[in-house]
Amino acid sequence: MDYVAKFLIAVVQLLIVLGASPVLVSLIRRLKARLQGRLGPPWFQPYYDLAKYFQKESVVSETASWIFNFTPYLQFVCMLLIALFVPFYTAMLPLDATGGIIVIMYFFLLSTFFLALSGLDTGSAFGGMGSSREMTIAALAEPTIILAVFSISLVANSTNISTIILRLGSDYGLLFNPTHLLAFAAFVIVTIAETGRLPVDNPTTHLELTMIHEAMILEYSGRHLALVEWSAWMKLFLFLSLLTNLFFPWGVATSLDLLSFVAGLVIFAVKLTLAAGAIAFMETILAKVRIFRVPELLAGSFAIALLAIISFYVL
Amino acid sequence: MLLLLLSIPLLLALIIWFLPASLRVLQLAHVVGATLLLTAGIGLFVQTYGGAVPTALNELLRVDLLSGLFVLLITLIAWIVGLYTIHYLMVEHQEHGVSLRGGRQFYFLLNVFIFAMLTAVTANNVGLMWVAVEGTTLATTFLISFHGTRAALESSWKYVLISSVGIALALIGTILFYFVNVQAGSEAEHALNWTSLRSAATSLNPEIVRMAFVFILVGYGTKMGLAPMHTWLPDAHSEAPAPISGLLSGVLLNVALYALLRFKIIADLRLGGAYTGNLLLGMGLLSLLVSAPLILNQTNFKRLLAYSSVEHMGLICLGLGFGGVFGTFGALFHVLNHALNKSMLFMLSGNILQRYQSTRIPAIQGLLGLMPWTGALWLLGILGLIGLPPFAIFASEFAIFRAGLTGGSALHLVVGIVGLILLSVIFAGFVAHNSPMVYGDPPEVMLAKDPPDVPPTGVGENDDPPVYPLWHTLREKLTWATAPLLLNLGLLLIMGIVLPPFLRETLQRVVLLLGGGS
Amino acid sequence: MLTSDGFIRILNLLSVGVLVTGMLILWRRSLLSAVQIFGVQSLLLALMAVWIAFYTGAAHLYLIAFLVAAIKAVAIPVLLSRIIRRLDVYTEIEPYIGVATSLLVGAGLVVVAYFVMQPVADATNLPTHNALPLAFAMVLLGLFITVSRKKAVTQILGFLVLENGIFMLAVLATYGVPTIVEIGVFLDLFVGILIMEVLVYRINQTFESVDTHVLDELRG
Repeated sequence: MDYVAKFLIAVVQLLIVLGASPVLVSLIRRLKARLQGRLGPPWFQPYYDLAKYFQKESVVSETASWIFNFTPYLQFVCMLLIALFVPFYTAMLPLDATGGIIVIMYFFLLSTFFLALSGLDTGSAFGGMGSSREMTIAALAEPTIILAVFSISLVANSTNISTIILRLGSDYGLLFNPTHLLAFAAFVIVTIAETGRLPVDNPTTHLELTMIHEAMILEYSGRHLALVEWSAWMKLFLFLSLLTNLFFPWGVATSLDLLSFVAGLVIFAVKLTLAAGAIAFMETILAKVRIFRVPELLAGSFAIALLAIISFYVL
Repeated sequence: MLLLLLSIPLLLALIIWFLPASLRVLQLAHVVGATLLLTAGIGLFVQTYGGAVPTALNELLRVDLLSGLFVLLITLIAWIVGLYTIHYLMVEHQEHGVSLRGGRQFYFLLNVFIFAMLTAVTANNVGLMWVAVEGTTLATTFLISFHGTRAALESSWKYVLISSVGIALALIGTILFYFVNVQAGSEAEHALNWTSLRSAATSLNPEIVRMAFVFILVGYGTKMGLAPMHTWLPDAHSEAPAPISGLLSGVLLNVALYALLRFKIIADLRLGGAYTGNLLLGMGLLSLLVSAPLILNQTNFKRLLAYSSVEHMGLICLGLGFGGVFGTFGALFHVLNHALNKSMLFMLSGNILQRYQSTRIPAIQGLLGLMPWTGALWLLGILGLIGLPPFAIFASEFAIFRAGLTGGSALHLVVGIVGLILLSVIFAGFVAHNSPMVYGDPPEVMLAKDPPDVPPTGVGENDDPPVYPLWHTLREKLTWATAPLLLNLGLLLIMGIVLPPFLRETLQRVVLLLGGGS
Repeated sequence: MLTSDGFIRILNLLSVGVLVTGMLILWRRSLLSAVQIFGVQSLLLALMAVWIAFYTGAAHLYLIAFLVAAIKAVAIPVLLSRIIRRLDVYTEIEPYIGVATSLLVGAGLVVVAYFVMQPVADATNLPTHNALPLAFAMVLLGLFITVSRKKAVTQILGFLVLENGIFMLAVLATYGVPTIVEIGVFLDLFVGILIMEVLVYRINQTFESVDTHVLDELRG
């Protein structure tokens, strides 16, 4: 693999995550609207929003420290970095050798941590409430992710994400292994919690009592808000890519030829569309659970992830 | 003889189901049945004493001397209890509103209960034994809640749940024994048979036998009322009707012990006696530790007896744990003595409860004055229970502790000394509780000839003459409520003074059997 | 002919499925859905017995599987649902131990079961031996449900989960125990559940509640 190809792939990865994540969000919104018998917002509404935010002035509370200003950029950069490690349509990633699935998880954690800090930073009541809730969730979700990721790594015998996808894609027996299925179940629940979807958090609400993510970013405006929102969309995009590619590794290009790249892109688009459909469907039929019940849900996913690991050793 | 023995209570239960709901008829049927059962029990015991080992139903059932001894014990106490119920149920019916259909249900369940116990001790298949022991739980649940009071319902709920869960653990142990037996090459069809387990004992996987025995100990130990799984016992034994309490405490606990013994033989053959012995010592000592303070602070005389059962089961475990000829002999002897003594006391507690209408110790005064027969038997029974000579419990406790103190093991010495200290605490507790109960003057209201403000109860709907509560009729006479218990007392005295030779030989041979002989 | 590898794969999936249903019972507060999940669990167990019978030719397991399906997957859930509807008690509102904590404890119990049962699993080379710790985990889960919940119905359910664990243990370790014993065990279980049902009705009549913490008169 020559350096030009590597560089090109990296650039394409970044372009995909930047460009396609708003589309994914738009897709979910429109599918959900259809299921609920509405028309839904226009396809490019997320882009219009971003453009609007960037033009507005960013108002920062006087009590806020540097963390408040720093967080949106950090988050944005974290997501872009992660994008270099997560395979979308090809497993031939340029930074493959420098970090695996654990690096990805810690970048996610870093951005969550700073977002929670900035929620506290402004000293507003909602921000603090949101941060506290977010941390409650993270405290249970993070160990679950680690366990789920470990069990996938155990099945594939590697923490390198490309290797995992190669192994799983070449032996379908591994996919129907109880460990892998349980890890999948745990990962789905955690994805929902981490990306703030129903039934854990409602991404469309601005009702104070139920907000989590929206409460933390309540104080942001202008270009800061744009970056935070964009990061959140990218996070959703990245999580769904991980989920689909780790558990359904079919069609991910494993060689450096154009045909497999094109095929990989098409299949990737199909997978994400299906995932978006699933989310839209779930958000249509489920109501948000009470905030006090969320730990129960996450403890359940933790238990399942632990079962995944145990069943690897037992069976 | 074996099938006859089992068919008597089963047939009796069926007959009682179809009998008219008349107390007289039911009692007659039951007493006749119980007498037949005792005869069959003695017959079977004599058969095994003569060296025979009858089997039936393709070796599903098998009776050696150990089984024979327990069969004898069960049928004897069931007979005494059967006689006792004549008076007890009549009073319950006349004064406490127990319906005739309730009485029929009582006798039906009682016979099912006896059937289940007899099946448990005659089963060769340890799976069948488990089914029968669980069957005893199911048969007794509604007997415990017989009075339908809040406390009775509470206790029977705890009883059925805790016992079922506990005994389920014994099923795991049973399955594990089956598993190792099949692994050791025994034929799967018969691998649950105790005889098959014994002949394969030395080739079983020792690690799994260890684990399996722990499950068995916890499972059947729950049913035996060993601490810390004893929590259901004081509730169930104190809320059940007196004859049932007598059977539960006197016999059922021993049936669970029997099941434990069967597995102990197998485990000892593989592991040597020390492993099971030390486990039993631990459980036994813990049971003494738990029961001693609760006996000291007890305010309810039926619960006092119930905790004493926990204590005595602990003592039996100590005896088995000390092991050796003396320890095992003492433990077996103690099983008999405790069964006779405790069943007598529980039945007497029923008389007291019927007369005083209370189970609170402070409410009972002047027992000897008001109820001379019950009072005297109660006093002697308590003295026997706490281990005073010349009653038999003294002899068996002496044997148990002698085994512990002179065995030459430091551990046994320490356990023995701690056990003796706890025993003296319990002794003090019993004496302190019982002196005011037995002596003194009966409460005023109990003596009045015609208490004016107590309405007559049991008035029939069609102008029957009013029936006054029995305690109007002043001093107690010798009735079915006390006469059968004289037998218990007599046996305890005889066995305490001089152990009949046939019994001594039986116990000695059973000790050999427990050591793995055949 | 089925390969040993394929047999084990399906068997493992079934065992994990059974264990997950156990966890779900711990998770659900709604009694009706917990009972339904129990029914599903029993059905999975019956399937497991059929699968093992099919592979090993242990014909008596077909009968046992039928009994499990009839009694545990149909009759008992119907009985329990009837109690729930008649008593109008639909949710386990406040267990002694919170649901989130229970789930974590439940996961921990699986680890414990693994260490306890490992010697047993190692002692045999039956194709089924790997799943043995999972069966014991079910036993522990059932025990835990029984002690950590207040509603009488949930306690019964815990006992039933425990029984299912024992059944699974027997099926995996020894392809079931001899039929006569197995039938006796089923008889005990069924009669036991009937008795518990009647007791629950009586407790409800007398105490006007089936929260077992109202049963606290007997102490000391």
